[in-house]
Amino acid sequence: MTKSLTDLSDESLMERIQSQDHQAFSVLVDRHTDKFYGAAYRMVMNRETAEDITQDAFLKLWESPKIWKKNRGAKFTTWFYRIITNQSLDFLRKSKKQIAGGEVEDFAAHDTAQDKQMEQNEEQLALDKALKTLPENQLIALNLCFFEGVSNKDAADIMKVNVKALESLLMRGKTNLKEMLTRQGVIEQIIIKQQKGEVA
Amino acid sequence: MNDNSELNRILHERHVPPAASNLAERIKSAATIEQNVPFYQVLLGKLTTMMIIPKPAYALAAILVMGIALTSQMGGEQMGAQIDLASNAAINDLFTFPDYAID
Repeated sequence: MTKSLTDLSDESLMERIQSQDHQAFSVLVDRHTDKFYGAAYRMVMNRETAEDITQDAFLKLWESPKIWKKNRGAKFTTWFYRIITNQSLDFLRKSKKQIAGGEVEDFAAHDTAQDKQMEQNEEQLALDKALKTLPENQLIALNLCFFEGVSNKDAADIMKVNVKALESLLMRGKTNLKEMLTRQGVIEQIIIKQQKGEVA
Repeated sequence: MNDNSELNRILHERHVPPAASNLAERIKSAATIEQNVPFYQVLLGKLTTMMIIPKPAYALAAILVMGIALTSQMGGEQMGAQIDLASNAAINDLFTFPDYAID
């Protein structure tokens, strides 16, 4: 039975989940946990929080599966990205509120030893730091289109904006990011390293 | 090599630490636990939640009950008094003659 479930589309699995089919839920969780964890992580930049957000989102789906409406025509992944994005934004807003002065906390600094590999990578750290300073909608647009491989149309749908507005957000996000990375000297360093490498 | 291509490369190579290996299992088992709760327990829980009244409301509810009890008690006494008055009036009517009868 499980074998045939794995062949079903997300939308068909959702229909089964609406009848409290736990096996269908398991298949959906196995299929998408890593992807949505990645999406949450890229927003909150903290492994444990991203895991919690993913778990909460799936449990909400299990407890209230009727919130997904097939006839609205949205793909399951598009709809679920919106849930994950909203939950991540809630977390970011709460954590920003907790920090007096409005400075964004460096979550990566509190991460566990598993993230040491990331900490060693200066580029990644500089990128995360720059991403944290971006406005929310630019961050979401970049995350969805660059990292999640979501099409512009789907990303616009997730963010409830039109495609042109999304493209503008992407452009502004990239410009801001480039400015910040240039200010930190990251891009120049990379180019210099590459030039040295080429010379050598 | 320009800045844009470098930015694109950095963005595409952005690292995400892997989730805990048991994350999917954790989600599935958490959903199972929710599902395994017997129906009567769910019902009992919902009823209990419905019955929960905040403490100031307890005080208000107690005052209200006392008020109703006292009012009904006093109301009964008043009603008795009203019946007495009514019967007195009836008796008075019996023994009261109109003025023209005297003439």
